[in-house]
Amino acid sequence: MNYYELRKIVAGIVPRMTQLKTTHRHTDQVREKGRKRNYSQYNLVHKEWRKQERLLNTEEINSFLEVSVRASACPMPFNMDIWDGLICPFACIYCYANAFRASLYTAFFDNSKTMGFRHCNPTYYKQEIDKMLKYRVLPFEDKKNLTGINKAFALDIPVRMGIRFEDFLKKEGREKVSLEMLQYLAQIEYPVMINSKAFLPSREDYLKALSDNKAGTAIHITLISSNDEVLKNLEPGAPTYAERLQAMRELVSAGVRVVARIEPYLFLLTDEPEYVNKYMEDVWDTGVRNITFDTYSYTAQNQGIRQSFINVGYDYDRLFLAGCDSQPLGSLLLGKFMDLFRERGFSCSTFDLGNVPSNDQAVCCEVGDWFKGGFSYGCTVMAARYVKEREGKHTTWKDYVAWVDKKGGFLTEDLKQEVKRLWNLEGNVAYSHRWAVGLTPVGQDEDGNIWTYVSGTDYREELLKTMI
Amino acid sequence: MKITGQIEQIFSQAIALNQSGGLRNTIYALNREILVLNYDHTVLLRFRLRSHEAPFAEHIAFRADDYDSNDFVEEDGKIVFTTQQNGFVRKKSCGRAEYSPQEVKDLFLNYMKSDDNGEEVILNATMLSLLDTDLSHIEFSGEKGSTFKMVQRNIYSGGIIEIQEANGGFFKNELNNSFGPIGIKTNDFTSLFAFQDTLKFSFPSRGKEDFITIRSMDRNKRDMIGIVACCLYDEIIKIKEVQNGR
Repeated sequence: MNYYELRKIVAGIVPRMTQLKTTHRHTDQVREKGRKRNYSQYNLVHKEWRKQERLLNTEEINSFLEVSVRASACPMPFNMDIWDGLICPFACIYCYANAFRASLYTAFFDNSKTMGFRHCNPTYYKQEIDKMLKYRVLPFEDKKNLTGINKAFALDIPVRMGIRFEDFLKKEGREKVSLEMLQYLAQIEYPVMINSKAFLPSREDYLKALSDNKAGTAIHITLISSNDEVLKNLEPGAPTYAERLQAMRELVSAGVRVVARIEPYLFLLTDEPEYVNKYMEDVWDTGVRNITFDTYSYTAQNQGIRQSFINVGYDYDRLFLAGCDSQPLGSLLLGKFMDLFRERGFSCSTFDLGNVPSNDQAVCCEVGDWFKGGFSYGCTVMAARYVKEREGKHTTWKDYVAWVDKKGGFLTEDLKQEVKRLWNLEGNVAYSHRWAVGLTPVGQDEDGNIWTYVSGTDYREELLKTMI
Repeated sequence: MKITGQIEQIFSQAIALNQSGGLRNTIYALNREILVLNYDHTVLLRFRLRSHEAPFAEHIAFRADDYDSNDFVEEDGKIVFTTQQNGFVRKKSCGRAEYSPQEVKDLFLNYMKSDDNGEEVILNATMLSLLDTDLSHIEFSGEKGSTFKMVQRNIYSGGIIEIQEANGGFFKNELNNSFGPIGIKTNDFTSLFAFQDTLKFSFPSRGKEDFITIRSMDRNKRDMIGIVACCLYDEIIKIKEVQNGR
């Protein structure tokens, strides 16, 4: 069954809504928490009016390198936040980061609406990273004894920019904070990977900073469709399709690994055959050969996001139910969708656990062959790959831990315990390798489950058969 | 204005549904009619007052979320609910609804302008217990000369629930024409029975899927007509406004 045969079947399972009257409503992704400005309260002890305000630092992010909260599933969980803001001007309606920030900032601070854009202190970053340089020259066995960001840094796990916020907006073009950090990383020859939709990384000074880095640089450029009308509706403030293709072309020419990113994959919206074919031709023509994919995230189950889709005339419920809420259906659709791109010659991988065993690369960001340093092998994506590599053998937790240890070990003890819980189908099972096709529990020992990989079985297809 | 009896019941049921996550409603009242339109504009219900009940003196529109008491009045475009308790008076005012009652009535009439000639099926609330309310949709279909079928598919763990009339049932719904498949959101469907136990559904014939009409069987008890926009099993993601092609 190919993608379009599957799409027809799923369309016969999850229907489209129609309306008696079109709705178009203002969307607040988060109802703000009613914090007040200029609010004072009389203090009976001090006998004076005191301003009751909790203020966010609107100029600077007090952050540093971090190991991501998603590290239990992610082989590249080493993040660097450069820019931040309440609302990203690209205004992608499917993005839940705006909703998340609105919830966080308006719940705790009284001045979040005036924050605009703020950025890290690059001088502080550089000073602190300078102190960590000593870890990179330790013997491998000593690096294994480190923990957290020191260990990630020592193992040369690529640092990621643009995870929480777009780091290459127009203001960056003027203030050059991300540029300063890219130049610094090039100077210390530390690998870096960017997530962006912006055109700015293809500007000459950014290209130079990226191509000067001998440790390698990669960029994920999110581009989910070639349909200009759809992109305009979904990403009204983002660079156009043509601009992003141009950025890809220039970055590829400069020797940067460019990975096209189709996340979120949106059922029936970004999969029209004509536009998929155009996408493949255009992206191939830029020189890009790698694509990373993912289904829509559960985090996007937000009334404001839903209404934003409805406002532009798209049935959010249908694409969310089929492409995300049902993890097996969404995963199966995505897998078949990726096959279309494989047939064209692209190397394709995804963070979607169901499809991880069939990824073309072990590292789902499609940079496993690009960076020469380390990755975080202590995570469920890598666990699924390891069990698959040992096809036909039983894999215990101890087998897996020994393998991770050879690669540098878990980044923290807490992370190890979290991955162990997922190994045993406990914890946040959304990120468990239980979803990985072919992975089968075959017994238990003192550490919990023993897994094996059985090829030729697909629980998602079995589930589909029960519905038709 | 203080409402009583059946009107209060209709309001209360609409509000209860709103709170339980069934239908998120806005309530409109004018003359001898109450209209309830859900948030997604997929369900529109029209209730007629009985002859002995006094008509609404003013046009009223409010979101079910805002309802606060059975004593309310419109003041400067706002609905003000009044509650008296233990010598105190509480007044709650709330903003305008999305449309005027007349606009919603016009919308209703637009769909009811022609004679309905769909496939009729009578259903009782007792069959709701056969449904899985955790599943998002119910698919309705039927073939000429046979009885209709309801299907729910479990997209999470697999499997199908099929519901069809058993032989010898009290209401035998033998079809004159084939229809469907047409979907209704499970929440929308179950919510309809909050207003009356037995309802007559009229499904559009195959190839003309637009909306489903629902009528209360005992119109003396409660005169209700509902319109539910069909969910369609095509390969389109754009939400379209229902066109009344009847």
